Amino acid sequence: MNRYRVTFSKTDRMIYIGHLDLLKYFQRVINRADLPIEYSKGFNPHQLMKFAIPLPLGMRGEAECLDIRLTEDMSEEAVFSAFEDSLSEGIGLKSVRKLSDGEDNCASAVHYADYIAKPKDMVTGLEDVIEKTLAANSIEIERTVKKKTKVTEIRPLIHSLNEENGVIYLTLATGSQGNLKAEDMLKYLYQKAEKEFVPYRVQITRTRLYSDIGVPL
Amino acid sequence: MKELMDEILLRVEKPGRYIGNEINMVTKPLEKVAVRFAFCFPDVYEVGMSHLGLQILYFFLNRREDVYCERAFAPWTDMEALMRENEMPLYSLETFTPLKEFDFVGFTLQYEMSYTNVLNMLDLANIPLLASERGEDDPIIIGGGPCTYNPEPLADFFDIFYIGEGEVSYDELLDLYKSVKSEGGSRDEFLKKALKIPGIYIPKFYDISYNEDGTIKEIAPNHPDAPKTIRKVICKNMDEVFYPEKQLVPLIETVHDRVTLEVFRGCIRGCRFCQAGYVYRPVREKQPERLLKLADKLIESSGHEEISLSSLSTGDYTHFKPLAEGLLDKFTKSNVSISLPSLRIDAFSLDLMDKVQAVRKSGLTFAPEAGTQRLRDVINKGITEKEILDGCGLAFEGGWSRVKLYFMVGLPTETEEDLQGIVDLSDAIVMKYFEIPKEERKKRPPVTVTASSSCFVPKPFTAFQWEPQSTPEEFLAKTHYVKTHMKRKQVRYIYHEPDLSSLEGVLARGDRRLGKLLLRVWELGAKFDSWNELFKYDLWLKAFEETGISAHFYANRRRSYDEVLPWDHISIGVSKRFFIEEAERARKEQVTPNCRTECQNCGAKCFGGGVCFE
Ligand code: SF4
Repeated sequence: MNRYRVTFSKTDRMIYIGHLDLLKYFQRVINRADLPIEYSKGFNPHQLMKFAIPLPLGMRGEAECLDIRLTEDMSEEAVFSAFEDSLSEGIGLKSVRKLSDGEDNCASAVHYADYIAKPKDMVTGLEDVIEKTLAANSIEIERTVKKKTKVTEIRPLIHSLNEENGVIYLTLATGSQGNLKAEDMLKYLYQKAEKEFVPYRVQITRTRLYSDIGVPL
Repeated sequence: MKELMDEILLRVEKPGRYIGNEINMVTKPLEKVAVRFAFCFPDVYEVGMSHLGLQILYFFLNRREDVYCERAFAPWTDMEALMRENEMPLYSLETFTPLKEFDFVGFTLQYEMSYTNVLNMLDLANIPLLASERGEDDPIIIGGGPCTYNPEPLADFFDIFYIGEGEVSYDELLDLYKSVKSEGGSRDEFLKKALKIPGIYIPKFYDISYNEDGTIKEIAPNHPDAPKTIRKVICKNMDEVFYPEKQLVPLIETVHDRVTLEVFRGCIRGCRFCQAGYVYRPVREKQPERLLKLADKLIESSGHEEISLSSLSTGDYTHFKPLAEGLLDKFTKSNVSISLPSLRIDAFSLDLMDKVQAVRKSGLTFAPEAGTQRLRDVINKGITEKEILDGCGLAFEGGWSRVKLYFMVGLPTETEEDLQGIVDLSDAIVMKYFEIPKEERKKRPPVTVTASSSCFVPKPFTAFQWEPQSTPEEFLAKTHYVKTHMKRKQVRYIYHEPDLSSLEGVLARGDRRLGKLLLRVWELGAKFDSWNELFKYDLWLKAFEETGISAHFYANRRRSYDEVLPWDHISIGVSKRFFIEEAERARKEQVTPNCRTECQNCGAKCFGGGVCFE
């Protein structure tokens, strides 16, 4: 099977493009690059590609993943250069890796991710709040899922939290097995620090995606 | 500016509208650029980016190394509010440069109801609205597109109108600008010299005087170099003219997400109400070989999965069959779909539609425009009831069961009989469907006929340019008649509110005095008038009242053939004599053959090309 994992960054102007538009964008990039992409069978054939997990609009990504399936065997280098020539500013190509047989696709493989949050406004007392959060056995937050508010236990979804020089480092469960949105986590921390969380005043970057055993995808 | 971006863009709906960066966007080293041109579309991004003219002119201007054409669109109200709050000026999508820093700011004027957006965009760019108030530091404001055939209502706001097809005179105009600029010349020097370039209309070099009854007395040049009439410029040979091999591919969904092949310009038909049919005369075609090559290049360079054909009446293309078959050959195996324009229904076109449309969701479309044969003869719409019914019959046999019909109400000479004709024709189509055996009918979705009517707007440079438009009350009465007489449950009737069409009727045939009205209505807050949810008719009524301008004078009055029309100094090649003949033939319910059947010597031969010489 000719499956390839494309790792890319999404920065600059491209952060304002949502997930569905990014999907469409990659379809066109693949067409332009003339890659022999495989199509699904059936009434409405579409290209066989899968993203690890959508990157929310406005968030930067340093190592996002996309798996594609080709109809013929190509070298990693050839796929890399085909992509490289067709990408726009703001989408940077990091690597192309041929997947081994039986290897999970990135959407199943991803379990958690690193995030960096840079607040534009000073937040005091975060260190304290983080310490308490990590020490707690249980943390419940209210989340809105499909227009209903639901109380969820998030403590097991937090892998690590850290603050250094005003920058917040988070490692959170990410993917279909359990997901904690960076924004929800930050909202909680801000609330405990008695500061209002204004989304567009905090720049968030997802820097890396990991498998369940902590290997970068 | 970039600093502000995050703050603002993360708070608006669809930030993708404001960032450019599309596939094939042009970037240039600014130090090599001598002239910067901001191409503005006075509507929202998704609408403007679907416009073929923008794609053509963008790549046409950018083919020059010394010119950089960038783009701007009307920001939606949420974005506008944040821009104003943060004092962020309107900027270009390519380099985020404020529009005020450009040499040219060009607007494409596609429909009258975008005029308030033009003013709003100038204001957002901190550029003085009135041409007379602009100084050496301000860009030259230039307008192009179909509305420039009568640009008078906008005359106060523009420095230049470009009359005709962009490929012809832009090089000369930009070269002139470059040389005047490098010699340190002033705006005025440039404008005066530009008077000599074909197709260039500079409103301030013309004085308009009026009669006591409010009609125009004279349109007189006030500069020796200003031509008495400005004739449109058009490309003589479409096979030699530049056409981009790339298209900008938006990052967000737009109205038309596909590449577009322009097959020809102009239309042979001569429908008497249709401005486009006259102003783009004569028909000039491209050869199918070139089109097929272009199709390949466009698909390759864009990555699009759909290609469409675009022209006024694409089915009239003399090489339609080889083109359609060539495209099918090329693309059926790859995953590129072909979207067809509405075609006359016959065996060939049905077969073609079968091949390109895997899903038959869209249904068939006819534009009879009028309900009776008599009125269709008046407007010279060369389609008979028999043709429509036969076409529907064929299509029903072929498995279609949905039909859309387009009509206009308020056409000249219209009577109740013609309105009843809309009802009767819709019914007749339903009856046609029931001629299909019952067992057959059971297998498919039930028949639906959607009849929709728009309100007729008399336009300059048509046979009906002297006609009074129906008043809003009259329009309402007409649509009410049709609505209450449509009885069949298989027929759905959709009609438009007349307010917008009535305003369009004022602006389309307006003169310079309407500048006051536009300015006032914009001050009152009008913008995005063509958007239902933002259109505020009461603002317009208020502006009419405050400026003392009579809508009736412009829209609902019959003009005489000898009245000086506000657009008399502009020439589309087609003569006034011909329009008078056409108006008279309309009155006598006589049809005029199309250009290919029999040339009428309309005047468009003067351009020396196209169908006139076939
Ligand atoms: S001159 Fe004749 S062929 Fe040419 S556009 Fe006019 S009517 Fe048509």
